[in-house]
Amino acid sequence: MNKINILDKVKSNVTNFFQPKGVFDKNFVKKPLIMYLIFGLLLLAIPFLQEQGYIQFYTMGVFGMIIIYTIVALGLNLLLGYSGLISLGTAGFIGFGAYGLPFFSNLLGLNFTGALIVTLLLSALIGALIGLFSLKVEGVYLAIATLFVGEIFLEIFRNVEWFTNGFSGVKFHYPHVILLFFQLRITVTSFILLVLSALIVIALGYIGFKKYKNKQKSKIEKKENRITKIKSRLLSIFKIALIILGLMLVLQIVLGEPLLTFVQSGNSITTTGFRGYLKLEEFDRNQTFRFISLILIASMFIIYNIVNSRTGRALMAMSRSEHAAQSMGISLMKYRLVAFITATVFATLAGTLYVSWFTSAYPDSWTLGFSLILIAVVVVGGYKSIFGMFLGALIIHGIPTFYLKEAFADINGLPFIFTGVLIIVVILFYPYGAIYLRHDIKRLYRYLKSKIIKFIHLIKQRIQKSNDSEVNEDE
Amino acid sequence: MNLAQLIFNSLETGSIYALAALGVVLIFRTSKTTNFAQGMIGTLNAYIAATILMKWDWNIWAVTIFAIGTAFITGIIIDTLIMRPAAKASAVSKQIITLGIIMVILGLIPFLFGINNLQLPHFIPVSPDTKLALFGASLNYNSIFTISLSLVLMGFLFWFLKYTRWGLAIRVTASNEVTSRLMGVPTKSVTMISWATAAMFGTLAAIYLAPGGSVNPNMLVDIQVNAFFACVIGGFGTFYGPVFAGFMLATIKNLSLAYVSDEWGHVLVYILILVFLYFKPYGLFGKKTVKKV
Repeated sequence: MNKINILDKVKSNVTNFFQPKGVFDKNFVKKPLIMYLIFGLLLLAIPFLQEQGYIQFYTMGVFGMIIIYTIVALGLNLLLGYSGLISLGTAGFIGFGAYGLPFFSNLLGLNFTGALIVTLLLSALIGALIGLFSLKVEGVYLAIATLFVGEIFLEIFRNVEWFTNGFSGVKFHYPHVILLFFQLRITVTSFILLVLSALIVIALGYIGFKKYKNKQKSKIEKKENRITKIKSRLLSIFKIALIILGLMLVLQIVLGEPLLTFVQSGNSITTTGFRGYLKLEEFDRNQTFRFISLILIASMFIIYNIVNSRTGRALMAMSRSEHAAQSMGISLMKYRLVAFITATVFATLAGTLYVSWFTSAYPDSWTLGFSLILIAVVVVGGYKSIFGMFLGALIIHGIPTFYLKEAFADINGLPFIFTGVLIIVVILFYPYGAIYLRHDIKRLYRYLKSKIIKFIHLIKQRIQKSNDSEVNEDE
Repeated sequence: MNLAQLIFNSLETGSIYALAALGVVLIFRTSKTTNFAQGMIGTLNAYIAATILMKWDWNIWAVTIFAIGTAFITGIIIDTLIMRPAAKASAVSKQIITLGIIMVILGLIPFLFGINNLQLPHFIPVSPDTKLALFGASLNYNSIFTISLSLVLMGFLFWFLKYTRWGLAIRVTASNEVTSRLMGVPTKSVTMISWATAAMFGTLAAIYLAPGGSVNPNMLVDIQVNAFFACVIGGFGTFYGPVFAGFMLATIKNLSLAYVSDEWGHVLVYILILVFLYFKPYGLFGKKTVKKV
């Protein structure tokens, strides 16, 4: 009896594992997670095109900036779009990332990964403080309170020389990432391998986490249930990671292009600190670009998961009515903290990427104007949309910088006028964001299609008529 | 620098903060948006003033009056062409529209006036002869003039708000727009006038500030930020709160720079204000707005 049960379990597990839920589904490509991966593959084409000479060196820099904008906007959207809170201090947090990373890697002798973690933890702490603050202060007062935080950062960037090196700015290098004792190398093939293996995993049906039914009755059971939930989640993340790694190793062996290499111990004792023991290869420019795009895709995944979970629903409920949400048992404090911490951490992450992509940072970049532009990215792109953030960044930063500057190089200020008018027009005509343009385009397409079909039909009829009449005449 | 001089300087900066803050709060109460473009509108008109002064050789008084006139027109144009069609947009969208206005003006300035920074003179030329010594502080006639002019203007505005029919209309619109429209108050004209007034105040702040540095696109950014701070400290609920807070903020900032630390003075003040806001979330004079369901 028992044996049969176990056999059944194994069987169902195996069938679950190989269940081809996704691939044969008609809408497989339309699944958001798949779309993000395909989007990542498209981004990969940019350094490739630059190598081939189709895209200028400068244009790729702008694309890097667009990706950085998108990452900030993804975090900010959680505040602005989903929770209805506004933050005017975003630029300060980006600046904090841009200055914190070089500072911690120089001062504490940490490598890139270590300094990144320290910076992100600190910004999460500040984000939590703002979250607590937001419980007391609301509306426009909260917005300007976050502006205070931004201005505090700006004052520190301008005046505290030992942290930021004053107006001469800080210099940094391209990143080199180690995960435990493995060094990450993102070449073209390895990037494709990573995405492909992720695709295969998803195709096998391991999308997201398993859902657990809430059957709890007593408090103790509830607690136990929670623990098993967390355990199973960790287990499933571990499983997914393991499968991706295994696939990557197999493909690595097949194609001979490593993504992870062992960190070699260095032979030079002259360099001091932690870095002296490890011989790390820095990324080159293209690899850094791939690294940034990888992080963008990961951010999209994370935000998608947050938004389509209990947290996302709680945030949306809170944005409509705090009191109603509270009466349904939603803890304001918990979700406010989640929203603010996510937004600040994403902003800081983008800042660290900024300094590793442009390899320098200056204090006057992180003003109120920059925060406003980031809010504009969210508003123009579209509240509550993930691809909209990229679209917004493309409209606000991309089009004026790399198209108009070349086309109208001799007319000063035209890109600014263009952006300004565009922002106003988009808000007036697409109050929910430019991402909804696609609905109008679809409608237009359908309209045109029906018209063309009618037209063709009409012509056919005419031809037939004339043919008929000819036949008649012949008779 | 002695204390009297510090306080005098703070009065001068404070009057600029107060003018800008009054503009911000006027628009916030009538149009329900925080106007980020206020400083930029002022800068645009300061550019107009400086250009006319340079090209046609008018004196500073005539130029100022002309610039205030153009500011009035700018305010009306922005309200009718941009803000009124967007009346139904959400609060955040309206704020971003004002960002759009900033961008347009930022683009227009090099387009119309060239990329060079311009200069504007003082109202009363500053020289050792036009100085007044008082309690060990030396006061320029020009600064005294600007402080008293802004005090008079603000006093006039308060009188206007309190004792005239139009002032009543503005106050009524600020308290509830829909009801006042139902009662026959011309709310459209009210918002138009408040935009025009705010633009005039911004322009005046820019013209006060210009002789100390130059007329450049970023000249009012700092003032704008501090005006918002003043609005929060004083509370958006009243018109006099931000004015008082503007003077207070300038004094505290100057004192902390002089007596605490060059590096950390402002940071300390801002943190203290945040702590203050935590305990009084609606500012010094503000009251909690009760939302009826």
